[in-house]
Amino acid sequence: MEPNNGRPVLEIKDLCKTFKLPLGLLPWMLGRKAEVVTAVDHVSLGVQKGEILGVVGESGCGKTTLLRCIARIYESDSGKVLFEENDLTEANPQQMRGLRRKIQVIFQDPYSSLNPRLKVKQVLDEVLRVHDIVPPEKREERVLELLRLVGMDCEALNRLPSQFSGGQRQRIGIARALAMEPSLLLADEPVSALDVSIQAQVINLLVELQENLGLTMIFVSHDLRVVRHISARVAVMYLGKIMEIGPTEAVFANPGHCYTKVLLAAAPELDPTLRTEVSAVQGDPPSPIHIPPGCRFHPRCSEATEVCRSEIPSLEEVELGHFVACHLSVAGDQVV
Amino acid sequence: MNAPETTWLSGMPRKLRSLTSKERLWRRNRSLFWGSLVVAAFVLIAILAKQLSPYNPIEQNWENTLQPPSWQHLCGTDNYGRDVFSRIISATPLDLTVAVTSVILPLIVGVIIGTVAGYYGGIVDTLFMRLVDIVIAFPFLVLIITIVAVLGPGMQNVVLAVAAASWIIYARLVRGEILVAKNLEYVVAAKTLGFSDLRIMARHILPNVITSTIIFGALDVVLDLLVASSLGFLGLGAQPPTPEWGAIISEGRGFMASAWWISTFPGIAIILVGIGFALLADGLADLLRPGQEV
Amino acid sequence: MASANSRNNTRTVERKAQNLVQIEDLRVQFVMPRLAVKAVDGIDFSIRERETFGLVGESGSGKSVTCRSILRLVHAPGRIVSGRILYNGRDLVSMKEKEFNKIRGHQISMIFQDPMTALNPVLRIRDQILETLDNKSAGDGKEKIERAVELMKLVGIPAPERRLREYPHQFSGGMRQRVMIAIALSRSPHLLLADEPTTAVDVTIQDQILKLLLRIQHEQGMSLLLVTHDLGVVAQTCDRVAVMYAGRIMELTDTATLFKDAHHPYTMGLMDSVPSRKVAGKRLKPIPGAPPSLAHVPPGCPFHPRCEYATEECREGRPELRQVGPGHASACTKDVRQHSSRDLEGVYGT
Repeated sequence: MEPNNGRPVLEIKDLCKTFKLPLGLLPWMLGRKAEVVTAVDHVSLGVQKGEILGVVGESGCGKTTLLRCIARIYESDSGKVLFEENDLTEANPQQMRGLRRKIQVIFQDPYSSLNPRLKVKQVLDEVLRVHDIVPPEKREERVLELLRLVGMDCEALNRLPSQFSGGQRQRIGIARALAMEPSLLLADEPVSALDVSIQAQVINLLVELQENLGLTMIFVSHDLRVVRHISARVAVMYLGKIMEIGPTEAVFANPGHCYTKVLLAAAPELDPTLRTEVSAVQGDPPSPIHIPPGCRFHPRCSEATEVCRSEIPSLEEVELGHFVACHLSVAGDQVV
Repeated sequence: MNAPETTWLSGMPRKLRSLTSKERLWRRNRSLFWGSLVVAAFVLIAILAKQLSPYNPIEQNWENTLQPPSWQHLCGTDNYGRDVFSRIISATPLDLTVAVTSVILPLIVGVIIGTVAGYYGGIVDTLFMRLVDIVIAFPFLVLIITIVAVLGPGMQNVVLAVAAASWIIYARLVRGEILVAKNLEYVVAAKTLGFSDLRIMARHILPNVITSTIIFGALDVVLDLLVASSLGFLGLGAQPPTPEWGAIISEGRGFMASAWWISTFPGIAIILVGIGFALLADGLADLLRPGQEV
Repeated sequence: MASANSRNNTRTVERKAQNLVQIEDLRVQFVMPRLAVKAVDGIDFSIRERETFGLVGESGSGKSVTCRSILRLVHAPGRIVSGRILYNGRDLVSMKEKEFNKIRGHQISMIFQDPMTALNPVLRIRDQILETLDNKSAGDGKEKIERAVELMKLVGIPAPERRLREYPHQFSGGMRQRVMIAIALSRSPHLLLADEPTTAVDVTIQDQILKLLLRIQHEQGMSLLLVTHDLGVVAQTCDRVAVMYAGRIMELTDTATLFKDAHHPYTMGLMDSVPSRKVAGKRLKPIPGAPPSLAHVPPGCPFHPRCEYATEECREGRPELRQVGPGHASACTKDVRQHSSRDLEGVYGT
């Protein structure tokens, strides 16, 4: 399906993750059931080696939970995650230790993703030491190499995170992830907390690293503009399900799902001539506790029909590699 | 980036500007400075107690009973003719040791148990919390007195009793902090970096969480000192003729009107140590906040 | 000095139009034990009637502080050290408290960034709106409730009568933001200040809120000051915009000109750093370095350490806003537009 033939290096099959909300004593005694937040609902996708897959969606869509399930920060309820033929969901702690080297995470908040008491040197050295990545005599050299990879110099070694700006802290976080020599990088909104001019620096860095090191990357973000820029393929999530997935250019030029169209219309472009008066969509996103039946987007969709309200649409291929989960786009005809 | 001096307020005293950052710390953090000074002074007294006592603290002198403070007897003498000053000095090593030990013991035990309970959660945590509920149902002092009554009087047992009653408090304190800390991104990051639970708990969570416990501990020293003295006062602590501040106060009870100095001076000693540790705790609180610019 | 002249020129240009608000040489500082932070370091601009004015900048640019200064919401250790904020000709900075209270909340109103904390969690929405209507001119109880319902309808909240009786936690983030707007509009202000009103909400809600604000502004004939860090938001909503950096204004012009013909290297740099429709796939051109700490602002032009066109003279003096085109002012002493390697067609091509 992709120019890069062969099996995808990461395969997610039917992944589900729910969270139970704690039930108070009185409701429990009255026989009420605990409310369940459906964060990820039967998500399946594949990522080819060396590609960047963007996952975009608004808050509550489950993109972060999906990422954390892949990284086994959360234990998923059901489904499989296969990485390079290894089953991540079934791995025991011993196996996970080895697998963790291959899969690393970059976190969103530069202000809480680094241990405030560890100097940069200690942060990187610890990783090298615990996993015996390079022999002891080579460690110092490697730490410097890692810093250089992310565009920082040796002056950073003896400083604490608090002495760095947000962008620099994010670079340190990236260096820490790279120290493990991963082949898969899971980036959870890595630039959302940064200033605009710094975002560009980190985005460029990630693209560069990905190219030079041949990394496979999943880039989660709520910012369409960033995802469009960096990803080869993109998946649009809404309330725990993938609504659309396909090559970035195809999805954005030819959005099949109503929600994708809405997202595109809502994202403010840097062009004052493209103003509209009508908002892209009405209403608020429903809570992930009470998911609407049928197509979850139907309450806010201007083109919803009966079938949209009752049947859950599945992902259908509308053009090469481009899948859409919408009853209205699979009329057998061209996508609008 | 270079910081032009012009943007700094010229309000900073000239002398301070020329000091090194370490020196500036002591100057700025007054609590730490004075607290450490007082505590260090008492520690010194405790170490040199024998040398510093002008008289033998337990030697009785029937010709010299109930003398008011004078140059020969700085704090007067008690009803046995013993020099009160020497008794106070000699009590220092005992009281300080008891106070500090009754904090360190429960702190270590409590931190370990609290960390495990907080980090792993689940059934371990639930059991632990029920245990906490049981222990704290008893009033602190009553619990200690009961334990001492069972074990028998004596300072060692006082320490054991205090430790037994207070480890729970430290454990609960640490557990609470751990519950928050384990969701911080850098702890999650440590997990994804494949670090063992032990390493995460010891290297990543605890150092960031221990500060409030240490400060609590410093204040707890004051409390435990008072408890030890109270027990000494009640006759359950140090047995006569061993000098102990609380015991001395108790001995002076019957002479409050005629020989006020017997009870008053040990009381002052307790207050001073208390203030010292409180200041130290305050200074530590300022100092231990990570990422502080000096 | 040439700078004083150019300053006066800018001010005259501004004054010609109908100016609701005129800010003159505003300086706001935060004074702390060991340093003084110049959050706003001498800015001039004006907001006309019925216009949407955008104040855009990154963190530390001083845009929020500026906005709050207008309503005198800057508290110790910060204070307005000099400058005037003229509202309909009267200086808000030196006005007496009693008189100012007639303006704050009535003629000038504000909405904030975080819808979660802006509302009082223990009061019903009805009470929170009524609180602002709490004076004789608003009419009696029944009329006040009617006005509250009207306001809820104005901001697009369905079933307003029922929702008035609810508490903030029963509203979603976007709805809370609308309620906040309703409260701000209760006295029909002439000027609405919006301090990053959509930064904390999702993009579809942002879209709704921004369009709502524009619609209301149009209907009520208000002026709107929109503080944001997102150039896209500026492009979609503002008539005129000021770009702030390190407490100063770098460029001031109408929106169309800003995107077509940006003059200041910082503005250009910002636009080059934002991924947009046409630059997908190519490398972004980020601005090297980071915004300075406001305690240690570089001398001369505050942007010079990061500017690719900087020369010796940029390190000295204090570049002021000067006219570089009709209704277009920039604080850069050079004109680097022809040297810029920006692919103008590529960024926003028609």
